[in-house]
Amino acid sequence: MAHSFYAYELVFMPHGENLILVLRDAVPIRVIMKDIAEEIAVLNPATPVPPAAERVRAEVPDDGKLLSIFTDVFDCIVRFLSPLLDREGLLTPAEFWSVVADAVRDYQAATPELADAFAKYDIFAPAFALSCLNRLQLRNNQQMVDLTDVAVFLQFVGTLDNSLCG
Amino acid sequence: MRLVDYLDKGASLGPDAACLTTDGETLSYAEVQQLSFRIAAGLAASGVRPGGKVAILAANDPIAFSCVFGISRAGAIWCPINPSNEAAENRELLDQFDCEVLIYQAAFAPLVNRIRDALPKVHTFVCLDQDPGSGPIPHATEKTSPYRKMLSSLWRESPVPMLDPGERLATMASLLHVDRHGASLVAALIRGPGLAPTVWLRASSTRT
Repeated sequence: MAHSFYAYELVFMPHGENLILVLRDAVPIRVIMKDIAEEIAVLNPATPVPPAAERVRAEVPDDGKLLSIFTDVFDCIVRFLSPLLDREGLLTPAEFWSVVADAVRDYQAATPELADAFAKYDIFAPAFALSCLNRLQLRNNQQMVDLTDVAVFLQFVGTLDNSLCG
Repeated sequence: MRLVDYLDKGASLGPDAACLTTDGETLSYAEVQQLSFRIAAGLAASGVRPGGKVAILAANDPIAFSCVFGISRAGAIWCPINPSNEAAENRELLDQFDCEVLIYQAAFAPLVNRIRDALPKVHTFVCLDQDPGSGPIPHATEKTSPYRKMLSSLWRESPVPMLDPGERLATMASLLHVDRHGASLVAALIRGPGLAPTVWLRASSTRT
């Protein structure tokens, strides 16, 4: 997800329709991206996109782009893993986020060609805007968000602390 | 006299006489007359009122030409367009005609699909020779319809053929599932291979 964002600014929710884990002996060994077609966006105007798929390109202000990781990955999925592992005595929250942060740091170190993007979109920022995805449907349950102009529909309420910034 | 009056006069004089012939296919005056009634009724049911504009994108074809009589019978106006024109030219003509219904042969579906989004005045597209239940229906729902997400799930790819023996699939969200005792799938997976939790999580974080 991070590489997809930093290399291409291709963003999507990691739900089972888009991204699925392949397990061998109960360990995730790879992920499969599939049906990357609806409810996705390419935020970087410089990323080449075939003309037939040009509609997936979206204009999002720079300060909102990394929310595709902060909201869709950290807030919606990853943060719920930590208390489960804590409750069963496997990893404390500090240990959990330390592993995640190390994985991100090692990825960044191994990908120096994207250093500018890492600096521009700081995944270790202390806090990020709380984007209330659930309120989108609550506000109007007869109509989906206009996928061609998502940014105007987002509703922000305060900020969340970034657990990666330990 | 309207165009369709000539058809009706022909039908009254010789209903079985050949009216439209192409490549060995012949429709009699009576057949064309029947078709024209059906087409006119269909246009009226689609909201076309007398004076409404209807266009046909088709090669020379008896059914397509029968539509011209149907348009006349509905009191509507036939907008002449040429399928050999550039798509953009036809789009502009249709828009300037205030065309509201576009009838087309399946052979011209690619052309229609290129311009249909840019034809806001056309409220009904009719394909003459394709079963409505087959083929792509690109705009069966509005862009913001809540049903779109449900419909799109009907043709999602199955990742199962991409698996090697011994591999299983799990969604990210499935890791969060807990049983009635509060035990989670993610913890069960970690305990399974007996890896240190940090090693398991590290493997997962690196892949996603």
